[in-house]
Amino acid sequence: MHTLFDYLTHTKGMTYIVAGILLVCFIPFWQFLTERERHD
Amino acid sequence: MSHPVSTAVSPSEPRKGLLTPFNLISGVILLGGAVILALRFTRGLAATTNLSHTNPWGLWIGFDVMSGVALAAGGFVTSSAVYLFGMKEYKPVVRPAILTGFLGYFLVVLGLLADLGRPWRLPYPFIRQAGPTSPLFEVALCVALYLTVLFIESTPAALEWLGLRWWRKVVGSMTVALTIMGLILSTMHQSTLGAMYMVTPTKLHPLWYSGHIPVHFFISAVAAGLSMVIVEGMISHRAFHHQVQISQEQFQRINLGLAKGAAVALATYLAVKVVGLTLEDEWHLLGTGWGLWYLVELLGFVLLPCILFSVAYREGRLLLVRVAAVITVIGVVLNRFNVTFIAFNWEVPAGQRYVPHWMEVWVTVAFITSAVVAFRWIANRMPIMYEHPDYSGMH
Repeated sequence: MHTLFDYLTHTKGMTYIVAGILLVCFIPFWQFLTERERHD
Repeated sequence: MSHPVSTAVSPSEPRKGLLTPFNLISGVILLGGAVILALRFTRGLAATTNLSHTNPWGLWIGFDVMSGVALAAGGFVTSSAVYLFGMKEYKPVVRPAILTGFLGYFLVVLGLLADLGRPWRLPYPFIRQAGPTSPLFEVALCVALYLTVLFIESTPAALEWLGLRWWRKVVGSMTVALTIMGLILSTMHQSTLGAMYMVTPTKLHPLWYSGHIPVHFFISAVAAGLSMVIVEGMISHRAFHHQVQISQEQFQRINLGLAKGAAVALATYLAVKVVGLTLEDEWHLLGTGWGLWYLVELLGFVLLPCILFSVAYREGRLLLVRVAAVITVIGVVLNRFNVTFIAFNWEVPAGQRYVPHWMEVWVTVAFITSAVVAFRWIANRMPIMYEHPDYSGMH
């Protein structure tokens, strides 16, 4: 990484990956949270 | 003029004498607070606080203003849920939440006056101010307007108590408009309290500083408000059990619903914080001493209550809901303390760091005590914990 542009591209790229993982993780979290409602 | 509603109509318990242990202890606290405030206004901040040019904001701002506003967020959250999003099953908790919010915001103003001094200048932001680009002006404007909204939203209970039916109808017809205003104003000032710290990138530790701090403050306020409604309900349900009309089952369902909302709010907050860490490239800071403290706040007071709320909602466990709510409330207060004076000025030498004076702590405790006393006085007389039979079905 030599320039500010490289640094920002790297951190933005990592952020997109982390945000994507968190969005995917929200699905099992919601399923875990609402399991009782489905049973009821 | 209509006669006040007789106590035979409201299910209040027989009045005890004035010299109860609660009254005596709260009296001592309030008297001490009054003496310290008199000292503050006659001898200045140096006589009663550890504030200085290096640390101009301390416990009175960190707790009374920052934490007070966050914890009073239950009012706009519950009233929006009921009157805007149609979740009528939460109506029994709206009035206690609104009253808690009103008393909370009132104390915010009192705490602010204690810190600022010159209370006669309170209207100045509306007469002489730094303009609409000032976050502090926006906070002052929104808090003042929202306090007015909360006051009006609290009047139905008083009007029912006084039997002023026509005025009660007028205020009731304004409910939806007031709720919309309350939601907009709360969104603005909850986030702007965080936005005020955007001018302090060199003073606030990088782990707490962020370009998205307004978002952090708003989401954590939603979680704090829901948790505070649970905590307040837990205490009120026991203290005013003779007034409560809803069944234990309904009360449990309401608390579990609030827990679900708090779980989602905390999960969202955690996600935003993790994304923020990545965007600012701050993961390496977690290995430092401050990083450890940050992890205590994030894992112990955000992730843990999120898990507890989720398990509690999934398994229908009320006790776990209450434990999670208490942890969340402590966590939000801790976050506000960190932003205001713990992680603020983090590079200042240890000898110049701020530690609250015992008088500051006493005044803060006195403010909280006054809110509890006021809540108790109002709830013992007015239809807060129950629905007045003559006005059932109205807003």
